[in-house]
Amino acid sequence: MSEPKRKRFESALAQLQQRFGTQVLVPARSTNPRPSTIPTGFAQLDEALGIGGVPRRFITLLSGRGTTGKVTLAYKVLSHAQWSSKRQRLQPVAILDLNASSDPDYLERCGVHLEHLLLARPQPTEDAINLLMDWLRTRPLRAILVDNLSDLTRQPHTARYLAAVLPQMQQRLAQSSCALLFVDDWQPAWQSWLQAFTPPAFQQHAAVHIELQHERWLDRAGEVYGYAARALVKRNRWGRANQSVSLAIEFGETVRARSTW
Amino acid sequence: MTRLWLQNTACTITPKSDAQGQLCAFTWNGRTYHIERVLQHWRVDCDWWSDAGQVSREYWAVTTKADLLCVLYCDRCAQRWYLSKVYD
Amino acid sequence: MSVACCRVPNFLLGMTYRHHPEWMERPLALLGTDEQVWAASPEARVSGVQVQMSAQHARMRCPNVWLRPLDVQACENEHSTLLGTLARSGLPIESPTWGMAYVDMRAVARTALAVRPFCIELGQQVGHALQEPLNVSLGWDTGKFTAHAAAHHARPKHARLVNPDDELKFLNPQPITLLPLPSLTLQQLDWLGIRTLGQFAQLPTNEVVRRFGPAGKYAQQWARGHDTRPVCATERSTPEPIEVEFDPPTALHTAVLEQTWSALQQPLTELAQQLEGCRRLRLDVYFANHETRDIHLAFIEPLGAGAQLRAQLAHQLQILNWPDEVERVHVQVLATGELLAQQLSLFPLDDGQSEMDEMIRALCGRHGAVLLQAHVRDNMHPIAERRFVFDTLARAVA
Repeated sequence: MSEPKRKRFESALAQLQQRFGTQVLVPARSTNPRPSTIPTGFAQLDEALGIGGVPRRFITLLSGRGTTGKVTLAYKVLSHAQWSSKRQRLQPVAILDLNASSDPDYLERCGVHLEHLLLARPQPTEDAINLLMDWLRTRPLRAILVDNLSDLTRQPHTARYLAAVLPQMQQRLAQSSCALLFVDDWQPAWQSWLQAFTPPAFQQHAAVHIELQHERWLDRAGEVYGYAARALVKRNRWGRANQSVSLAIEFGETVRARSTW
Repeated sequence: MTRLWLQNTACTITPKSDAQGQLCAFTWNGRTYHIERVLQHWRVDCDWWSDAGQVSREYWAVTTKADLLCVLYCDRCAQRWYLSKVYD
Repeated sequence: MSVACCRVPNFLLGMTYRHHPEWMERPLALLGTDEQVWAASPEARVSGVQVQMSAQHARMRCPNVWLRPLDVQACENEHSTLLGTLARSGLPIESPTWGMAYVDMRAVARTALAVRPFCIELGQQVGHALQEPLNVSLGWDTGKFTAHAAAHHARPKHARLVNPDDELKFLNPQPITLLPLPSLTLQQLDWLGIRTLGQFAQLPTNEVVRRFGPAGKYAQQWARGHDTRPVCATERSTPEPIEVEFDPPTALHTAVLEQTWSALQQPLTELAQQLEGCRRLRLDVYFANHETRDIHLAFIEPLGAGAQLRAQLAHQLQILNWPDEVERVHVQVLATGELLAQQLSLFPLDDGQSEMDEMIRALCGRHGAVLLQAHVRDNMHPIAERRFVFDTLARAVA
């Protein structure tokens, strides 16, 4: 742009800003809809998601049966969230452990720094949802894992409360720099039908929904050293849905192995 | 071991043995899981000196036909079965 | 106890007739958001239309009934006006339903004679705040039920204060339908010939409990004038509106901001003393050319007199289109709310404290017992659950 043209442009911009405020015109690059993300630790999954990981400021749902790697994937995200800061220091993350089964030893093996992990084990009632809302309000948390959704929606009144506060939760989330992950255990259709606020209804609120399925056991000389899981991206606000990739969860690689079960 | 239940929580299981006395299935939360493969079987006797209490347990790391990888144990003192971990 | 009951008879119908006077004297049923009848006109009730009936059912009972959707937003606004007017008295207000509220008057007076001037004042204020065709009727007694019955008994724009000595004399002839009993129970009582509160009060208590359960027992106590339920304050009072004048009018953004902000300081400080903050704020900006602009500020969490609220105000004034110089600003706090635990972090913190510690301190007050931090003690221990320990953070912070 030539100098006189640039000056005319700046003068017009200044006039507009003086009249209508500084936010009246903003550069197009600042309205980029791609969210900031946290890597999952699985390069092929980051690629399939199209944005390089799970989004901050949005809800991500990880669902699947037992031993499909959904919790390991969530722990890996927590581990990366602790490091994903320009400030070169560890950031706090949290787990809402509703079924009281988080294993700190395994968390550490997945790379999570326990001194920067806040763990809460409330009863799966409205109190747990209020705690989650307070966490979102306090801002410093970089990732929150809710383990798991089925426990939270088991009681009809809690499920109704969750459904009622979800819009507010999303609003608060949008103002934070936190990724909110929900882990959902597979449950029979009749059980979902009995619940007031079923996972299918919740999925509408998730920006990203990854469903994990067990593929096969990984064994070497008759000894199981991990398993392969298929991650199917069922919902993705920023990329193509129904992409699927295979993830290898190896006890010696993905999770730092020790000679203890 | 992404799901670890502490002892005496609600994760008690009922094991089933076959004709040879081998562990072949267990029932947890009202659902029966058929064991496909026993990956490892070991015994732990420790902490008899500790305030936390003596432990005498027999562990099984197994995979089930529903593709679950889990660790079960039998508390030899109380003669009761528990689910220790489910990998996820 | 000293309770006033403020009631707007036929609130929902009145709200509808205000905009559609042509619907008066017709069999009208107003449908709520659940597609059920929320209110029915006397003409519709004569034909058997009742509240909580489905639209289809109402039409079966009365084929020429006018089924119209209720303007829920307008009703909510009018109800807010009623509560806002009552809340200005500074007394605890409980609103069980639209168009009705209990006022705890223990702080004012406890006898009918002493409470009388205040009731008249309160009724007049509410009467002025509500628009036609809505009218208010007031009842007062030492218990909630009798106050409610008195408000029902009073004509519109009138108050009925029940002297404690005359309580039974007043209650005995009142219809039994005032009691909040299921319609089936009321029907059964009607078949038994029990149609007044006095008749119901005289029934043997054991028989009432056996037949109608605990609800019957409480209903009988109320019919005998014994109602010890307290008024549970559900409405908060909001500060009085503030006028900020600019003489001469000014076009300076900073001047408007500073004067408005300093005027807001006092109400915000008073709110903060009650651990409350501003949740919704409205500014009407009047310009010299007689144009007006309004600014609505709504906050997810209530804010005190802090930098965040000031920054919001500054931003809104900046992005506002100013057609001329500002003459006057009218500021009104529309809603308040409890300042949340997070704001305890306003207290000075140690410089070296990490974000994590700061957050834990903020949360421990509300959720301390469930917050844990884990430490791996012996990662080679053969028993998985003995490899780590959990620390309760409430204890760690203490």
